Amino acid sequence: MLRIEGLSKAFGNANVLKNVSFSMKDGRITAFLGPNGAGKTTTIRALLGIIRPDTGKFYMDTTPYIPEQVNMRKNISFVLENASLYERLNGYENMYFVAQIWQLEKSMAEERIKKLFNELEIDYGKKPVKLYSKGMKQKLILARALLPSCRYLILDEPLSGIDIPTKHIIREVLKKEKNNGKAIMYSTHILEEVEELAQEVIVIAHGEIRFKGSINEFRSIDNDIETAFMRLVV
Amino acid sequence: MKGIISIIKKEFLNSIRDKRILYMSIILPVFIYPLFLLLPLSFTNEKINNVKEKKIIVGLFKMEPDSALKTFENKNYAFSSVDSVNVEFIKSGNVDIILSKDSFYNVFYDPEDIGSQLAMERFSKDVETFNKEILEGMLKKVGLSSDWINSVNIKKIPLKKKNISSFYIMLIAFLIMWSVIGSSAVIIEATAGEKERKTLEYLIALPVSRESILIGKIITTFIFGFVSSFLMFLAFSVAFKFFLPQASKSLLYLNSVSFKYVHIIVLIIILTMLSFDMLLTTLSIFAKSIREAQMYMMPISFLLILPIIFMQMFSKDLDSWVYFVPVLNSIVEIKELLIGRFDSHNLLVVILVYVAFIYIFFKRALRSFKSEKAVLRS
Repeated sequence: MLRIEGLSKAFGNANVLKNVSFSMKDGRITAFLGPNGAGKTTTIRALLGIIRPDTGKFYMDTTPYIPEQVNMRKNISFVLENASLYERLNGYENMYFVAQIWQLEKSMAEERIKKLFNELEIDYGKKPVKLYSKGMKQKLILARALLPSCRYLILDEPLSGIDIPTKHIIREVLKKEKNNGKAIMYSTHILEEVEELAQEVIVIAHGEIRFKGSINEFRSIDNDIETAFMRLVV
Repeated sequence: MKGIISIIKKEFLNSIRDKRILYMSIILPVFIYPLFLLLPLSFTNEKINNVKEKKIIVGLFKMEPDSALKTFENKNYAFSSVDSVNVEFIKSGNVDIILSKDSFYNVFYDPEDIGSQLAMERFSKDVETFNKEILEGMLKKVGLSSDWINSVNIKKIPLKKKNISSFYIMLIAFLIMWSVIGSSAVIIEATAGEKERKTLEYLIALPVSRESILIGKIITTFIFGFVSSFLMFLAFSVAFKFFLPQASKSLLYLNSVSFKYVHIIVLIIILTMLSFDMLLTTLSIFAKSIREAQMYMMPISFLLILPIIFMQMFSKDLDSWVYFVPVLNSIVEIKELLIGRFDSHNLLVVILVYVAFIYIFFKRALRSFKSEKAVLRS
């Protein structure tokens, strides 16, 4: 379990996060919902050590997790919002760079890359990524996050702007990862995805946590989840 | 260490496939710049050779070729009449020089035309030889040795080795300047470029320290800059050796150059490059786009050019303080080493200046790289 306690962050006079606390459980997909500018990306940035929070602590089970420490970050892989690939490198080179950062053995890295490419139906060719279609790029971004096989997986809007067949493939892969015991945090504002994938839901608005509970508890707010969401964020 | 190597590999692959970087690091220094140098030099060289061999046309104003001038016809001269002493006759290519006679020969030439200038020099020399031959003949007639002509003989003995040419200093300065500018494309791409393409945030979230990322990027930049200047050095050497052997002697005084301290010269170039790479990194990390980073680089180019101009203007009056001024100290120290002068005190000052420079700018670059404001600026 990855736990966040009392996370706050201000940029100048704007309090972007106000005492945010929640957890991601093993073997479950936690949907992280909120309107644009709610603080989802800032929370993820703090978790990954991209920004330093003003207050707040992180725990991996009971062990304090310090994002600035490189070895601790090895437990978390991620997809960032509007993430990009190295466009002049081909798909394999993009993947292999990540494998080297996580210090995977060459043979093991190659085996995993091959497996993920097959699973996500990604081109194994030598063409640079800039020639890939948007869907193919998005699948590669996800494959890059799945490559190190970390216990925690954080996904910030991984399905935005891609076609239905690609969405379907990615959803299936995420379900499989969840069944393998991974704790997955899935940030989105598309509610149908939440219904299909999530077991846990966290709703954030104006930097505050407005709801945390199971998907059933979320549904119990209103029969229509869009109405439930709107009630929480307004 | 593994993190740094991974970053270097990634940056190297990314840079080698970037057309802009290839153009800046290979095409410009290997082909374009030597060509820029070769064209005007080979043009001048060809003119010099032409004048040496070609028939010089002398325009005669209000005079006919006298007996003395007639002997010049055997020495590849031709004569034609002109109705005035006018530079236009030379400009139009009808004559190379114009001659008129009062108490002595007046030789008119165009100082802006290298062909006319060289023709005048050749004519003066041939007149001197002619005079000497006449005198020798007269002495012979009265039974005296021609040694009487030169009653005092001189032998020229240089007291010190000929100083390195200002052209050579300019080449060294250009090489140093290029080693910095050539690598700027790589560092801009590796920092502001990553930010522009939204890959920097991903990179710093990976389990690799920011120190490793920064060092990896700086090493790649340095390698590109070093290879680029080395290739340029080779290209210039080949250009001079095979295409302009005469110019290499007259412009570079290569005989006076010593390569005894080449290892120290390389060290100075490396230190100069590294310190400027750090400075460029600090600036380009802050930039939110490639265009903005390029804008920041402009003043750096001036910083590099200023010492070169200074060196050209005051090369003879330089004092020991120059060893404290980056770039200027490199040029002066390399020049001294190339003419075989080694001063350990000056060298130590140069090295310490650069080590301090590298330390300060690395710390500054790292601070920028760890700053949320700089990294997330978009």
